[in-house]
Amino acid sequence: MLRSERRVVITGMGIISPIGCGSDAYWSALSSGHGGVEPIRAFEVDGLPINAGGEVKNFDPKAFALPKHKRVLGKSLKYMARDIQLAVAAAMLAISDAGLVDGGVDPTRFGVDLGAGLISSELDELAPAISQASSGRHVFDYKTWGRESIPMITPIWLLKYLPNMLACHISIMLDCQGPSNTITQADAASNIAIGEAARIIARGRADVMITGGADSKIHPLSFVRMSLLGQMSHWQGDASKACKPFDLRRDGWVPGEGAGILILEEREHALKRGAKIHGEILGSGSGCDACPSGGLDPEGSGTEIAMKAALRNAGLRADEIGHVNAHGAATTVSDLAEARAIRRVFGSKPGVPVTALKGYLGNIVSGGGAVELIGSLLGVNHGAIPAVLNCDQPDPECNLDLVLGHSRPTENPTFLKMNLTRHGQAAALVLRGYPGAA
Amino acid sequence: MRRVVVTGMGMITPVGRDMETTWSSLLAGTSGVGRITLFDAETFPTKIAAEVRGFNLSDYLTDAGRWEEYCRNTKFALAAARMAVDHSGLETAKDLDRTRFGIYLGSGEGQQDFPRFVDLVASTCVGKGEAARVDTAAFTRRGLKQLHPIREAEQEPGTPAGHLASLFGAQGPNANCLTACAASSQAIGEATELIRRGDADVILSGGTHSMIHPFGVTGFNLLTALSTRNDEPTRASRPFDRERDGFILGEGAGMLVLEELEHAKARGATIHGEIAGYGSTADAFRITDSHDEGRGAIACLREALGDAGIDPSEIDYINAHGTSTSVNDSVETLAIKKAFGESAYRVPVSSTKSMMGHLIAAAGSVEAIVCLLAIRDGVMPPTVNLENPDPECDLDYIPQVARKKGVDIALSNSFGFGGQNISLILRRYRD
Repeated sequence: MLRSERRVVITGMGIISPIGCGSDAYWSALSSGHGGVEPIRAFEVDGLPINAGGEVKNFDPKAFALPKHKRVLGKSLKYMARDIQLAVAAAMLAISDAGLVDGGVDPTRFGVDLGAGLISSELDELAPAISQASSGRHVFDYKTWGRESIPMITPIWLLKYLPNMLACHISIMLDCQGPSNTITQADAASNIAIGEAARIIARGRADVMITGGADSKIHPLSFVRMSLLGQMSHWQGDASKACKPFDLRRDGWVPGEGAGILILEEREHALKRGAKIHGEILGSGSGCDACPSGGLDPEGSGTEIAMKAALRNAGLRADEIGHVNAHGAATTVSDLAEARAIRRVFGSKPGVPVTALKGYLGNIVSGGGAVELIGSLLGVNHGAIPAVLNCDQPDPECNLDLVLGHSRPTENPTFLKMNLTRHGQAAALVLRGYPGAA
Repeated sequence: MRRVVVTGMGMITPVGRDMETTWSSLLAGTSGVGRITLFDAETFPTKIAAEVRGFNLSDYLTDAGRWEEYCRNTKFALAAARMAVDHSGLETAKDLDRTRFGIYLGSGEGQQDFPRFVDLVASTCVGKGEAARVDTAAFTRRGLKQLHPIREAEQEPGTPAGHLASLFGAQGPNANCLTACAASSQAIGEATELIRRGDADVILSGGTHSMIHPFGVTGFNLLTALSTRNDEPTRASRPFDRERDGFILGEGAGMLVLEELEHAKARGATIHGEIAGYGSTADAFRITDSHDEGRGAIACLREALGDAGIDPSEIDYINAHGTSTSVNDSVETLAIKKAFGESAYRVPVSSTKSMMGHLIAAAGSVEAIVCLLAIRDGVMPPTVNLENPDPECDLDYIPQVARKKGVDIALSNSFGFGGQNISLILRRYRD
């Protein structure tokens, strides 16, 4: 953050992920190398390049509700798409962790800024209506739809799937009347939201912000979309090995789901109430490849711009960063582009330790930045950088100092989080853990 | 603090396929509402909308063919952004640092590919009537063949921001927010904060959206949010009127080139106004309704006034959110009265949604430009169809005809589902 600004610390974390819910379960899986990508259970799939994903298994949002919210959550669940349920559950964990369950913040200075994705309707919610308007030969009739199908759909249908409803439900349950924003920037969404939330506190507009992101790509339509983009992994072996960031055999995305929520707080506000501080947001930056023909720049120019902007914003030199938590999408082009950008910013000899967590989680897209960031934050607070999972044969062309095999001990709690979209929209954050807090 | 000015504007709306045509239509009180032609809506509860008619991307871009398969919202964004950037003269600027030229949009999602999607669902359904369920194995297998890769990819709301960055070589900060009907106002507000803070010198901001498609109309009809005055399309959007019965869907895009003042001056740019204040709050009340006493809206108006450092009495014109729904118009009126005190009855307020309909995510950016044009020309657009004001709506809404009067400072409100409130204050530029 700029020197003139208020400092922003992290006083709460909430995580709902394919490898565990809550910080302890999550770190335990990361530090022991247990991945969460498995053959998909939520629904049957066929004909796709891969039938695996990072699912949050046996997820019951009510299990995460605080006693005072159980009733309202029970009533609201039917209005919440899975993305919203994941976010709300993580927010409950985070607000408990922050010790803010029973107030302690002026509601008008308490805001929400989340990353969220495009949410697809549950297919079975539309199936009766669509079936009604389609004759035996499956010719769709708009007139029947208008007359007979519309009344078959639940009245609240549209609101169940709006991306800003993650933030809205959280703001209603936790009485956040301050600024509220929802960033819908795919893979870069969480990082942009967290950076923006930190700035809102830094400039004095709020004292506490709930931020991070959530997304679920565990949906038949999301699987089809990933495949149509030509970006989905074709891995046919053990599903847990499918997502291979920076590995020579990496061949694409594996869908994931989850939520990572941070409670950001103005430092003095946190100190005054004796809050436990997990870390600090030091800077953020964003950039874009902006290739004339679209898509990713193989050289990673936007990624480089974002990382440099975040470092400048944090007032740090590249050699002061302890590790980079990379996007590591596990596609051929993206990982190489990102590696090149990292080498240009951090040098190659000795370079900077790099990790990437999609091997454990799959691609949580709009929530990925936040979920992955929490992995590094928990890591540095335990004195370790979590390892890349499934990078058994590091791609020599990427030529990075990857953390492989086991988590690597570190005494430097400062790290950079990087994520980017397939359009080269890149967002970086620089954070510092507070190792005493682990 | 670094000041943020507007150096370029462009828009595509139901009442004009460029800014000046839109503006003269609005001043003339012309409605863009008619029967829906984009799909067969004859049996829908709502059969009317404000469509953008006669739009061809090739009128704006030389390589329009490249975008053939893209969604309507992306095409609107490209056209409006092209006009805004041309208007700003930015591309002729020498030494433009493209890493300090960003994009921050409040764009809606691309529309679902309705015909292909419903065919796919219908052909993979098992069971009948209420018991119909999708066989997901068949859905994924056939989906790969039946769905269109670009149409699916383009539904992601963050894609237009990527496309605009490519079109203009904007390598700086890049973001998209989607806060329902407040989105593009919020984008302008947050883009302003990025420039103020020094993270960028120029940001192309605004929004684009079209929800005039079967799922859009279905969704809003289910919420009973749309007008069903199907027999009188041009009289259907009637903000603040006693007989208002819901909003009218519009579509389009509004784009603004926001620029740090000294940067604009150094390149000799024409300055069309200043972003003077920004407020953002949440109702934290209900996902369907705004707070019944306007709590969030009042706080939002006060925050924007505080940010601009001005008194309510200094506001010359308010472009209301004014959707023509029963709740919005009365709560917005209440909020203006609470935040403005005695000045509320002296400040003219109008809703251009009475003519353009509701552009949803794109509404705020188009309405911010309307405020800047009111400042430029000293004339305020009317609220058409305001024949019998609702007794709860007792402000000066500029009924029916435009009004000539100097405007130095204008305020634009945008309120979204879920209790999202944004207010922007736009000011005539003075050194």
